[in-house]
Amino acid sequence: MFQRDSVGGTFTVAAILCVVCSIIVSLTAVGLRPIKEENEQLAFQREVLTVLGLYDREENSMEDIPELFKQVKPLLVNIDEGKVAETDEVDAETFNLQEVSANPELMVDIPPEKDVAGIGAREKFTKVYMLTDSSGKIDQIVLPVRGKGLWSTMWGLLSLDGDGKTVRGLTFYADGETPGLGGEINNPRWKAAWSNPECPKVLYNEQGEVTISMFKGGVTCETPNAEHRFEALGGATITTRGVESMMHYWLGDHGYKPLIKKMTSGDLQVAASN
Amino acid sequence: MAQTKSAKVLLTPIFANNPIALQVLGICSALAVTSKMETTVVMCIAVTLVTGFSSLIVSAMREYIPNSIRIIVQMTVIASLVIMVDQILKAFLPEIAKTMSVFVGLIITNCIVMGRAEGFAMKNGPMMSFLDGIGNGLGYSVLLLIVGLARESLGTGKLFGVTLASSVNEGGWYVPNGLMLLPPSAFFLIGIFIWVLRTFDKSQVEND
Repeated sequence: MFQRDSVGGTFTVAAILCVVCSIIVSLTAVGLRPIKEENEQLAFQREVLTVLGLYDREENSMEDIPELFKQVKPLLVNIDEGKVAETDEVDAETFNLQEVSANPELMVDIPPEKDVAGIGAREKFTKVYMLTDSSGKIDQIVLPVRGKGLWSTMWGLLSLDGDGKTVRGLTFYADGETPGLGGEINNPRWKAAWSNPECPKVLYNEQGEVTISMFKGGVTCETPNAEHRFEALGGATITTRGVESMMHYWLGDHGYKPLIKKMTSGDLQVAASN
Repeated sequence: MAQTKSAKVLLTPIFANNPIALQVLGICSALAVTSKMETTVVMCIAVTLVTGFSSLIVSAMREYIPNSIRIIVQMTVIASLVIMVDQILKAFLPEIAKTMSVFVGLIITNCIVMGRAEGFAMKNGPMMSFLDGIGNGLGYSVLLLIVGLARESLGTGKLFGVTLASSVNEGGWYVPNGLMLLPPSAFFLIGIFIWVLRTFDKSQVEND
């Protein structure tokens, strides 16, 4: 006979309960995983569309994403060589940057003196997204970037113009910065400066060096050197510096510079339209 | 007779024995998720379902729960249900789930759920316990919805994201009350709700 309050009874009830509950919880998690992954993919595609300026949160909804995303041309590239990746190490279809960055075999160490963004290693291959105009010329290219802020690694997307130096947009899709201070990197008002056609920002100077500085106290079109200057976030010195270093690293020689050179000389364009 | 009893079990927690207003349980989430109606409604549904089903399950197995581990058994049942709700929200309402972040998980620590499991479901039949759980969930919902209604409309001039009065920031005339978007405003609103409720129902007034 079952003795509820005996030691044996207690253990039996506890064991059965644990097994039953864990089965139910795992079944739910596993069963819903495909739907969640699809949502994550859509959310990422939305970020790409947002940074390209094709998606407006007020006007568009999640349902528009697959249709809008058809205009975008994803391309798997080899960052070192700055060209289209010819590899079977990663699959262009299922490429997921977060997964890749957790796999040491697909990463290259960044020499400490070059690691201004504080990320230690970067992926060999990455997926960039391009938007071409009607003649097939690259209008914008979206490059995944990331770097250390105050508390966390900030994962972002930078959109460059086809000229290879003008910024067309910046967005962060994952960060853990202080809400209200560093977290303001996602404030549309701050981000607007990165995609303002009236006073465009240029990230390289005449000599082709990365030139960006953060300026406290507001930057208008009339500010001297306004094309290289961004407004620093109030109360978020380290986050702001993080964004600055991130640009220095990813646009530098160890980052996307080879790829950007290829793009401006016209070599990448051919590949994209194939 | 049986019918009136079930109706009573279901309905008294809404005003006469409201879990937040009278029992003062589950305040934390009432502060956290009520700045927008959308999240408030989702939270209400989630809490009502969790309370209902956890009471049902705990009551159904109450004869088998050893006394020495009863709290942890209730907790395990509640936690499993909350994880399920959390997963379902993440799969089907990812946007809302993101804004609610940890607060769905924190339903586990919502004292209403635990309180009903320990206080009612351990002593009553499954059906009654289910109704009691749903009733308390609805009581919680009524208060949350009132708080959410006041906070979103006064704080942003919108309701469910639809503009009622266009705010000054968007070029309209309404100056939003910024305090309403901050958690403390929920305290004031709950206080006012309790005050009004006790003005009409003197029996709820506590003796000094």
